[in-house]
Amino acid sequence: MVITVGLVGNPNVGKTSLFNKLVGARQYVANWPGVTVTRIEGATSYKEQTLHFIDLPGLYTLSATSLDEKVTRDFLLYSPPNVTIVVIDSMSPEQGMYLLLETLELNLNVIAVFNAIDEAKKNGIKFDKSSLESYLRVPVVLTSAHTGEGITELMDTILATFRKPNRPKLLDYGPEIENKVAEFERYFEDTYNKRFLSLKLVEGDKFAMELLKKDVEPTSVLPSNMSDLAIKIAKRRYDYVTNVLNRAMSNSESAITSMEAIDHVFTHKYIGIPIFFALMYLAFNFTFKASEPLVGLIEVGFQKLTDLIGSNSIFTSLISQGIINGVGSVISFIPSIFALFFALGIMEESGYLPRIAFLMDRAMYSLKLTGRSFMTLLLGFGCNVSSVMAARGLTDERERVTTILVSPFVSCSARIPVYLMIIGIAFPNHRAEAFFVMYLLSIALTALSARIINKIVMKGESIPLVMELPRYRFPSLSNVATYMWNRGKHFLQKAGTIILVASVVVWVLIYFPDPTNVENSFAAMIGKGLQFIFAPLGFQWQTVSALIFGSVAKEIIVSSFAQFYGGVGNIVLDPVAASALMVFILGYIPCFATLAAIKSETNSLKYPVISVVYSLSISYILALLVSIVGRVIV
Amino acid sequence: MKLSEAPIGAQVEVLHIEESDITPRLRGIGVLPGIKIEVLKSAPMGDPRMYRVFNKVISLRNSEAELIEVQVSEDSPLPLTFVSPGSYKVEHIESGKIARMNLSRLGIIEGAIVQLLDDRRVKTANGVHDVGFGKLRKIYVVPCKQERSPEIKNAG
Repeated sequence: MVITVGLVGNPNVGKTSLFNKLVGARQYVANWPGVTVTRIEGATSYKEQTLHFIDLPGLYTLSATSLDEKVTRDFLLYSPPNVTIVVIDSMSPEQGMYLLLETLELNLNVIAVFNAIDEAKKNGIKFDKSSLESYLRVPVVLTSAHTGEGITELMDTILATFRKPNRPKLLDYGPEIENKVAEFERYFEDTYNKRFLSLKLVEGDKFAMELLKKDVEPTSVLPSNMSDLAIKIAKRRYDYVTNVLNRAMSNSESAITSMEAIDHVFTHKYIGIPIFFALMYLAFNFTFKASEPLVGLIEVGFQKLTDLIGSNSIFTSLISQGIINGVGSVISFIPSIFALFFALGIMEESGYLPRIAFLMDRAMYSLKLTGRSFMTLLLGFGCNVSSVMAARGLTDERERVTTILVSPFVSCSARIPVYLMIIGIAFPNHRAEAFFVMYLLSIALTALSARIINKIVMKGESIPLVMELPRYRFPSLSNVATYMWNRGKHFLQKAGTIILVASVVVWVLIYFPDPTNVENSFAAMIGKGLQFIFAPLGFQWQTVSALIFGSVAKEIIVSSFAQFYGGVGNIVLDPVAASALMVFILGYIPCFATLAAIKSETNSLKYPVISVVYSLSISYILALLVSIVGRVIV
Repeated sequence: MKLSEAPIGAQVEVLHIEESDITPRLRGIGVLPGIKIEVLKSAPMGDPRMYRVFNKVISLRNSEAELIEVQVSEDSPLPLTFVSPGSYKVEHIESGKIARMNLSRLGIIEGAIVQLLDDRRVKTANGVHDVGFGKLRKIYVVPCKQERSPEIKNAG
């Protein structure tokens, strides 16, 4: 017997932490049917039952205006889970309880969870569980995803609720609204939850209008004072919530003061943004310092292995050069990538990132984007494909396409090993600084491109944004580790598939027709043939060939370099050529996977072509600039 | 006045919301007529701004906050630039150490009773001072109990 359990709640209530606590590492990411918003699922067994958890996108109301909201509501409406958990933040329970009252209208099997109870206790907030249960008429569990308090009780409550379903009595909205609801119910087919839909219709919900019976014309049935009624319904819910809390919650003093001082600095008008850059710099420094010993060890290990196997026959050459040297050169950077995601995970888990969106919103506004698309673009630091796909969550079509087109300029993790290799060769004493500059440049190029694309390709108005700024939390190690693993594992998968295949192809192009001299290889012919294009940038044929192979996936640049020179250690690059090369690599072409995602998301060939042409030309111009200025200075 | 015009530090009460695409979400967060909102702080360039609704902190752009009609709550602290002449108690001073020290020399400290004169000068226990707009803006006051509650001047 599998019991499905859906987790619903406001954004930032610690829903995901609770989910992690419930299922541990046994989770996976799945796609919603039809849309690319991802959902996270996971299963665990408890008392001989299998509990299958689904973490639904966070929302404030079931009146859907964005895709996240629609996904959650459709799921609850069309495939209701056996048990629905509404996660409420104990520190700010009002909005969560509002959502709870809305969820109850769906006639589901609901448990109310007051999470972050440890923080509430520290701030002198107490809940009377039994009176909450008697007013809300659903089981209530007080939990803390941080300390693990109440988790076992929650598991038991899930089983108990599943065995003995509760169908709570619903809120009475008073005669004016109840009469309208009763009247509207006949406009819907019996297969739907009629009360929920007609209540939504009274609230003026567009989705409910779409589900009206075929012969019903929405304009003819809707009351003229609809927005008044919508406010009355919302007020009725909030009055109820406030009443319940007055009776079941005691608050010894006004909460949240300790973090205000920190927030004052982090979101300060003038120093907030400099502090953000300083923290990013620290994160990069940490990336290098923390991963250095391990990276060195892996490099030496692969080198020893290559020497041991040798490359005398075609077979040993394939193994040692093509596979170990080629793939190994990429793998050795994996500790750095994990270290970087560890640092970013701390920033995200602590609640700092939304503050950055707050500080940057004005700047995004002038680019005709929102803080929301800023958060989408941040995903691109992991992988551009994810930000291109996540752009589906943006409601405005113009913003969505702009976000998709500028996504490739966000420096993804695939570019990390390339920078690491080049920086290690040309700037061994200023690695964190050089890395930092590349990221700044990536942000600047993304912003510039958004500006250009908005000017030329798209025209339109900017869109509203309501964003919550969650309170700061001390990030738990297990959550940061989950964050790091979920983003870093993608890289390991690529190393075993596309990078392996491409490395072997590169090996073939180097080995034939003349295994003794790389200068006579097919790879060299390709590079030398096209070198004239890159002559102004001062690139060698090795660089040209590596860039061509790297258009499949950026990591292959590293793998190709390693094979051309017989190891990363043998490469020679002067600082100016290295800088021009890095600037070129930053934007020169989206990888195949990203191009495919752009094509499928925009459903046209036009945008991938624009993307390639635009990124090649702007990168070439920038690299040329760097090269010219560099030659003058040095 | 509009929510986007309410001074930072003030507590306001929602009167009316103009319908837009985000109204359902605002209703879900609790932005409803009769609800109190606290204006917390603003991002660089004055937009967006942070507000507290119940115990949640949200960020709203001024273009959205403009759709929300509010009035300042009676007991809300307001900057001296926002109130009409009368006597007030200093609630808090939104400044760094040095500015605070300078103000305390004039007799303006938290808890002190000050009088705002018709010519925008401030009368304190140790004399009448021309404080200047920049500093007046940082001094948050509440009306003294005996006085009638001051009329709130509309910033627009």
